[in-house]
Amino acid sequence: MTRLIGQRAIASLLSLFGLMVLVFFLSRLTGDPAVLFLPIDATEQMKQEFRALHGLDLPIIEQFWRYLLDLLQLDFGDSLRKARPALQVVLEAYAWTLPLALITMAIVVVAAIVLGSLAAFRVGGFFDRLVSIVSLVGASAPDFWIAIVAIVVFSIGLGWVPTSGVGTPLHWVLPIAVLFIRPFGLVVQVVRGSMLSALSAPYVKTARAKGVKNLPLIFVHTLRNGMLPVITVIGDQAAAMLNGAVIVETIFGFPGVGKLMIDSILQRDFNVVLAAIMVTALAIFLMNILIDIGYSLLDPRIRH
Amino acid sequence: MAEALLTVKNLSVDFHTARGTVHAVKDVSWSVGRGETLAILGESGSGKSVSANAVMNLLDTPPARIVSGEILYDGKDLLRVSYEEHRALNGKKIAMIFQDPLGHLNPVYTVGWQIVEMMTAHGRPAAMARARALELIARVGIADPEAAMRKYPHQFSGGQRQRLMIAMALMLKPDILIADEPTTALDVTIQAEVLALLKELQAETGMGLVLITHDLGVVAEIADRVVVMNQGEIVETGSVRDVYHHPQHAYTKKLIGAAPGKGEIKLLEAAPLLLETKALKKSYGGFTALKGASLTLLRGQSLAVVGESGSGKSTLARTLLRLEDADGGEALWKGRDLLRMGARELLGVRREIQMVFQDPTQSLNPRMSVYQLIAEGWDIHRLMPDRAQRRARVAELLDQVGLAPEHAERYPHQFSGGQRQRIAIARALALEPELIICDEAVSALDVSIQAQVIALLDSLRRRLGIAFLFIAHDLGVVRDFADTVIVMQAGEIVERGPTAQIFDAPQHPYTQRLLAANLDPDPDVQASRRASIAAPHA
Repeated sequence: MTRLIGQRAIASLLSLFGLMVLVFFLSRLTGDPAVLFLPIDATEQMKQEFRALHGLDLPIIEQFWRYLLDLLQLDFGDSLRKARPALQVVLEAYAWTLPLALITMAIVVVAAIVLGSLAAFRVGGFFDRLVSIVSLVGASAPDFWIAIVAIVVFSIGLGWVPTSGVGTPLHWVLPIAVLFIRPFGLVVQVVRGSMLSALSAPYVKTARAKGVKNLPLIFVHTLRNGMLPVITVIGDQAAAMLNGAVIVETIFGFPGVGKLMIDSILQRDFNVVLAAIMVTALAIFLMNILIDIGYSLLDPRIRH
Repeated sequence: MAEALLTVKNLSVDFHTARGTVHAVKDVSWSVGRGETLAILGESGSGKSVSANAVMNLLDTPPARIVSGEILYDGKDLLRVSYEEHRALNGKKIAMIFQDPLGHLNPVYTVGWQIVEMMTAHGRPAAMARARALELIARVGIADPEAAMRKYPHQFSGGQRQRLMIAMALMLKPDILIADEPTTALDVTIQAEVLALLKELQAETGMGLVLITHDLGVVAEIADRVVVMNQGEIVETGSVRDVYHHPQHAYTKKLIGAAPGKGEIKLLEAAPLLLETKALKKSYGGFTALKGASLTLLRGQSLAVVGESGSGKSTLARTLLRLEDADGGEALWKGRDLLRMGARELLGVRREIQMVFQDPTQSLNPRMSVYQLIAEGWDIHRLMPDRAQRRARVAELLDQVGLAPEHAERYPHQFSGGQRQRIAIARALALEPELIICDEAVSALDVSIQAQVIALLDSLRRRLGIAFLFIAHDLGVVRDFADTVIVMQAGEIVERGPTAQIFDAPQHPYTQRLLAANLDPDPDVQASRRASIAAPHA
């Protein structure tokens, strides 16, 4: 187990490095930040000073080398736009995205497992139909459309929740609800399919022959086996959410990492973009380790 | 006959499938009394498990539908009690064990948890369940019950898993135990031990035992009465002795006649040397699967390799086909070095050595027609480019294995298991091989089909002079087919010789144990064997 995680860690560090190289050079291809940051009538001399100040006048290899050295001290450089450490800016945004992602995924996982299992137990029954409808909506309706319709209906029409921004718990309701639909639709289908095959497994027959009641039959005997393929999909969806829900955050004016990343790219705030990408990559790496641990906790055959 | 504990009366069950309604069992009646063992004997598709599954409420409805009948236990008709009432009886009064204990134990829970659950599911306190579990695990012959409780199913051997299943089934001292092919997946020596254990436990508890099997030997060994089923109907019922010695129904006669191990033993005839191996070795990581196997095989010889799981017999076949590379030793195919030959030469040899696998359902590509399956080898070896010639040859091969030429356009799923194995044999024959390696090629087939396939292989051997390396665990089949036998144990050849010598005067203790554990379909032979041999307990 420890060895497995160790191997994963080394592989992940290598890919993190590769990612960093890629993003560093690619983002510099988008153009000169001095043009964007300084007023249109700025003189060439002002531009030179701006570049010198931020080390943008050095040869690009030199810039990369310096960046690397700083990175080893966890210094991602300053945000050009906000004149504060880039890492700080990113972590502030994460303070919003992380709870949003965690709360949404927690609801997704619980709802998908319970409803998906019940749907699999009685194919064609009430829960099965409910699950089909919700996942069809999630798969076919674009989330920006759902978000806007939700604002029209629940904020403007009914006035139950605010339209955008943060501040009260009510502000969280719509972003979570809109973010919930797509991953739920996907995860619940995987749970249903996986539980369907697990429910026809021979050990379920044994449990029925033992006189085990239906609820433990589903949620104790079958679920733990049925969860194995589900974990992968949950991890995948959670990782996507950690990247920041760009569209939902933008529509609801939610100051998360997705919105920050889009803004920074548009403003060529390279340091923030890089810091955001590195932190997200790290989060996804941790997520994958959690999935591995989850797997081995669920299935003793992996442990031995 | 003892007073009936459980009675199935006039039970009829249909299965509604996309292809129409199948009458799985028709008007089936049987009963079992205290301390009695009833065997339900039948081949695949006979409906032998259906009535037992109905007793346990394990039939999925739909597709199954119980048309008529009653199942009487303790004054109640189990087909008419509530779901909850039936659930409360399952495990407590009527318990069941199954063919494949690995699949039927939950892979993600400890064995201890699963055994204890048998009692906690019926409302008994966990501490009491634990004590009973420890006692029973020890009783079924598992060393260190405390440690066994904490282990998972995959950490046990097949025989141990079945013992644990039995311990689980007996937790609540049920009146009746239903065993569905309980020893089919086990090696013969393990089978003998598990059957002996079931008998002992039955004597201790006085439970009624319903044993579902396809194996006449198992019936002879353990049952008092037998019900013979064919195509959903009971064709014959009576005491095991009566049915064996005086079968009334044509099907029963056929079944008893088809039991292997009764034919004339074949003798090895002089012929040129085809294959010779010397000290062939193969390891996987730290595990040595083959510890130096030396053998010779003549043209037209039928050499059987006998052994239990893990003996290295399949590894031997795989190294000879160069599906695995041997770690050491020599193999000469018609004088040429088989282990070190280059790719081009090997391709030629691969045409000369063909293989027939155990499970034709898996070894035949389901998306290829029979014609494509048989003709594929000609593409690979660039033989017979003419299509008309190919069609004619496929028709000829199908005829040779007892199928019809018009079968060429069909797909594997349209055939029965025995027919599929015939297709696999036709495919092997297409390349005019000199050696066919059969890896448990008849084990998955019903007894009557098995006899036909063996007869087919033997006629091919005689007519075409093909040599056979016949890997098998069923000694009866081996006795009928082989002229020479090699016995393997733990990667080593422990005994070899002409078939008659191995069966009549086995020298090595392991061969003796194998033969002693092999069940004879004749109940009297089985009874006298039991009396003369004290079954060794491993």
